[in-house]
Amino acid sequence: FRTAMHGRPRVRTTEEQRAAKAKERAAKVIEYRAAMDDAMRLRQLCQDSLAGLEPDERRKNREQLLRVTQALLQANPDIGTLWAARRETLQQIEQQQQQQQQEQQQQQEQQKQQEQQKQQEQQQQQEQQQQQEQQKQQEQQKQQEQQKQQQQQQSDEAIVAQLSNELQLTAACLMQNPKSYGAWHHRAWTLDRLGVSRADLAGELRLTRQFLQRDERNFHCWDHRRHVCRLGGVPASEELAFSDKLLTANMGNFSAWHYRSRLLLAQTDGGLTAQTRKRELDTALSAMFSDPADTAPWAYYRWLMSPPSEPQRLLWLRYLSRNDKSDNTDWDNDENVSSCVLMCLSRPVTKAWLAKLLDIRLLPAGNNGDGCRLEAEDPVPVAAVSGCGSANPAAHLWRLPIKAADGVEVIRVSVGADSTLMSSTVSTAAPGRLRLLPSPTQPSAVDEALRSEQLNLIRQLNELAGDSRQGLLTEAALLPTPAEALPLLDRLAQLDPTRSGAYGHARSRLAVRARLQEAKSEPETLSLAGLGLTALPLMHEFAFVSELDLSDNRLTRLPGQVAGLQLLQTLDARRNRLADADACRPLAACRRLRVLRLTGNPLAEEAAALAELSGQLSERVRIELD
Amino acid sequence: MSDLPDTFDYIVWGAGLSECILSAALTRAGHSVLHLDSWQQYGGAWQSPTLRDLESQLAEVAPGARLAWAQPAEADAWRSRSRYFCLDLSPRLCFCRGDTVSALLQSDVSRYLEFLPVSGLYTVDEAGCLERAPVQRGQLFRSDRFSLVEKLHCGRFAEFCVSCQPDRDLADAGSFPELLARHGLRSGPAQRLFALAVGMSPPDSPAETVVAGIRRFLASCGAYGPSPLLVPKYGASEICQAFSRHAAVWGAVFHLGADPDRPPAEARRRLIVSDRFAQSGWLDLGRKRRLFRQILVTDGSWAPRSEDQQDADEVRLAVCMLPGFTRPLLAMELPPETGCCPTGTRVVHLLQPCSPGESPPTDCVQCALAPFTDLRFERLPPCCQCASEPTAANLPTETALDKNLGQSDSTGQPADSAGQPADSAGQPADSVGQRADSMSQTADSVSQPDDSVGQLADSARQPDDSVGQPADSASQPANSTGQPADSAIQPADSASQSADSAEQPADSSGQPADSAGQPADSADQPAAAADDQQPFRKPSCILSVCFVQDDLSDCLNPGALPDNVTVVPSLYSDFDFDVAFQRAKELFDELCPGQEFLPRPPDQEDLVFDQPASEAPTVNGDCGEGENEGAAEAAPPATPAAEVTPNGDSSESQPENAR
Repeated sequence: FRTAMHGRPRVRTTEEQRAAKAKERAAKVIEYRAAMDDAMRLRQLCQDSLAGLEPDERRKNREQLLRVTQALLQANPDIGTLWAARRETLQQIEQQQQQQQQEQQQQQEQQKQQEQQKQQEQQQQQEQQQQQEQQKQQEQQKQQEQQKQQQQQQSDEAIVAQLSNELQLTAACLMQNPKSYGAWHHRAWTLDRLGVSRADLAGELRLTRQFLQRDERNFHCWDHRRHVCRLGGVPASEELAFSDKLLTANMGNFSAWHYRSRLLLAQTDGGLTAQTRKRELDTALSAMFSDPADTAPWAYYRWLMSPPSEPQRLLWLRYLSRNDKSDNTDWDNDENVSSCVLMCLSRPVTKAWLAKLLDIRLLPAGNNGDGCRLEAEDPVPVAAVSGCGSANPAAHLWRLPIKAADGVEVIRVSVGADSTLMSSTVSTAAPGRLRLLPSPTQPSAVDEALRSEQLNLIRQLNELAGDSRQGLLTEAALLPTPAEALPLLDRLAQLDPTRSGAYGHARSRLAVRARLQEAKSEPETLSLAGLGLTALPLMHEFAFVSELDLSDNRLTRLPGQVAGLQLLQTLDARRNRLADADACRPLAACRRLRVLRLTGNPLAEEAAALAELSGQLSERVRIELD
Repeated sequence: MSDLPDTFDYIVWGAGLSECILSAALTRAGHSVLHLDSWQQYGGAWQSPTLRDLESQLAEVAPGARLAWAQPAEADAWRSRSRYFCLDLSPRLCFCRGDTVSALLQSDVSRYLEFLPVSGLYTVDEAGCLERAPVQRGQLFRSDRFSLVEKLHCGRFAEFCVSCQPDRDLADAGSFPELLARHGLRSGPAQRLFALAVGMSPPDSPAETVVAGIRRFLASCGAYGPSPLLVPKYGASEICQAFSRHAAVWGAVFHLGADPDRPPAEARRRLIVSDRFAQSGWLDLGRKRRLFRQILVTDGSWAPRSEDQQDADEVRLAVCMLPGFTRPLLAMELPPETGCCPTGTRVVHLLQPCSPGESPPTDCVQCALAPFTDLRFERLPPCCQCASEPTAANLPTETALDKNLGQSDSTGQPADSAGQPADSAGQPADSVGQRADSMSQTADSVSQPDDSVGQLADSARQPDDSVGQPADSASQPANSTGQPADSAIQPADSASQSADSAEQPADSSGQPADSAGQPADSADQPAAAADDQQPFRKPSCILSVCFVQDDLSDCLNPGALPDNVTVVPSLYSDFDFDVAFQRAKELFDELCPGQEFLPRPPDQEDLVFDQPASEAPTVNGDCGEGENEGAAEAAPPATPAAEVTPNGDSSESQPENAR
């Protein structure tokens, strides 16, 4: 029986396969190039065709262009030029149809007028038949209107058909490459073109759901979904239910958690209600307990418990005068400016923003009225935090030049008219030259009972699941005072050495914040000694100090923000880890610096480095090495 | 017959799963194989007959089986849709990383098959309600049956199970509940989740056993989607057929409907015999394990549609312990998407294995499984065998049952039938079948009293009809000893009825409005339509088939076998296919030591034929005595070269072939 088996299979060798594949590919390349050339030629023709070609020919060209690009895009949906060509062509078609409509309308109106003229003549001739004629006329008018409507509908349908063809094409392309920029953009364009009334937005949401089920991190698709929701005014509650489903399928879906946070904010207009917050906290906790190793719910949880961001406000004002004998520094090159006000804002702003809102008034002695408004002078950013070197950097610290301040006792600085947080005065007389504004009592995001309850839950989870990065971070965020969180950050740095730098920064921030909160008798001297700092955050908040003690920390370099310490005279940086002259470079901008203590740094051991440093600094700076 | 050789290397009797795998493996190893079965269907004890085939062949394939229609008047309507059913005799599960799947992939037999994931896993809680087992992370996260801390412990315990070394870590672990308690899990839901749903073992078994089950389950998670379990589309016999086809492609000869007494050829090397064809001395039936089986066709799912599955309905499993059994019950609910039942219906398979020597509370399958089915389904056909037992001891019970039935007929049914129109109105998107269903149900409810009388008459007639009856009457003493157990079931029955009656007020609340007239009714319906959360309606039973299968895998009597005979157990009481594959591989390794088991065939695209098709000689198959030895024409080897199709019926019964 087995002898009857013919056609025994023989496996083709791999070389044969390779050759066959290479051949196939070469054929494809030739085909692709030809089609591409064709498409470019047609596009050129369509663009130029306004000049010479017959309408029929133009139409043919367009149709062919659409055909060719469709085939090409189906093979490779990432050719943006072809999508653009399609959009052009579609717009041309639409325009042409509108033109045709207008022309037809005009023609009809002309015909009507002619007929009316004729009829009028006839009326004159045959007055007896007048009534009948009128009736006819009315009927004709009705018919014409109907025709018009039909034509409009027809052209409308043609456009809709063309656009829904685009939707099909993009869907097919997206099946092939779900992350094609061009295809998603073209799809959004098509939907906008169709508008809410004609587009099937429910179907569109279904499509995005399918794509998101396949790849939950398809950001193109997320963008598209948001676009569709905006377009159709989909209520946030429906989208919340959608994110619920995605999270049930995979609670590690970062995008879905994030989408949720955006939706909640949109739904409640900024602040969450206590009820919503509790519900969301329970959801996040359930996810965290189900799998503590999943970082997504932890991040969402911290977002829920995070305090609202600090409002923009004035932190302090400091008046500086050139005439002051102790202040004989060349802090400004402009000879006309005799004095200035240093202003610190809680959040960095740009010059353009500030220039619009800034209002400086000089109040003469004893006059508490409006005073006279100072002519607008350009504020100068000091130690910009971002956009350094660009024309419009953002900074916390601003120097506001004051001209002709003679006889003025009080200067009022306001940024924006209606906010008490943004307006204050500073005296030009010696004792009151620094104005520290008290921080307003901030309404915290969560009440104390909820916070301690949540803290207990997180502690329980950390105890059961063992110390984890997310767990410790979250616990640290829930602790009521910065000082309590410091040991947690130390543990984190041990647990996760790769991120120890970031934890050091966070720890430094908390330590500095704690030290700043302590009440001080002499605000112009500040000691940050022995805090284990690896970074110097929040410098703008104390940029008015004249004496700063940074000794016994772990600083390896002084950050650029040190340049903002405009009044600094004595800097004690003993027993840190400053290695070379470069680590102290920002000090060059501190024009009043006189004493720099560097003992106990690697830098102090090297004569060359010291020499380089003193070259950078002004000759008035005395480097003390005791 | 003339072309059929007189001898083959191997002759295999029985078209069950192990046998088909074995003949495919032997053929792939280059041996000539003749595969025979006396039945007309592929699959042997694994076949998936249509409704008509099941009805006509039930007595043959499952002696003692009892098939009952909930509404005998509807039977013909369902028979006309017979071919939409694939009613598995032996449904089983695939673990995604189990031996079954790896063998299917390796041999490329998977190309003939389609699978669906099992997406709903349930256990039954203390109150008898179904409880969704949160076997996936997302389900655990959403579950409200676990406290926060328990959720954490669940995850940690699963990690422990995966990472532990059973020999070292579980040597003195004690029982499974003790192990769980050591991991901080003491609650009922947690025990049910890990022991039953994940471990598929009795909760009080040794820790090692359950953890082995858990490890196996977890190892299969995430292979093809989140669910670790698959079921074959169109029933379990598809797998048998796929291997048969694979064997036929490589040259095996199949012959269904063969006469066991007149083998058409001789075996040169060995005769491989399914235990169905084993001679009486070869098996020691004392060690057999019984497997209680019930097939239910219902008009809906036992659980409301889950949220995350929107487009297709789920394949659902429930694992629970029934009173009187030491091993868990597996209930498998197949939606129409599996190709096993028409739209609007479900097939529910119940598998209740007994341990060897175990005496279940009753020999009546339906009564034994009633603690599960009574709470899930409505309109279950009454259990005639027990109800009409003519012993004196049984009589009071019978009258009690009768009374109960009567009560439910007099009070329950009218309310039910009144509720019916509202029901069908509440589900406008229902299929034609369902509408026919509800129509016939209303028709039924009109003629209800007669019907119930007819059913009782039926039940009176049943004993004579049923094939199993002689055996039953022979074991009457056993039955009478089973009597207390019977009465023990009675409370459960009445409990379910009280649950029924508890539900009925809700139904009957709609009834006054109904009887009051149209306006009230129409006012009622929009409210029902506006309500998204339709009240969950218990599915009604359409058909119930009860039978007992025998697992003879431990019954082999190797000493009594002739030298050239190997006996293959045809059936296993395990819940998955893997045992069949393992046994087939063991036998193959015994028969062909050193040869690869089911090696991967070359890809279709890579096939080059030595001879042009036109030159290939054709073989004209002779047709004789109703058997057709397929023609090895110049067809590519992907089509069955020598597959024997028994008769025209096969196209109806085997949708896979039709495609």
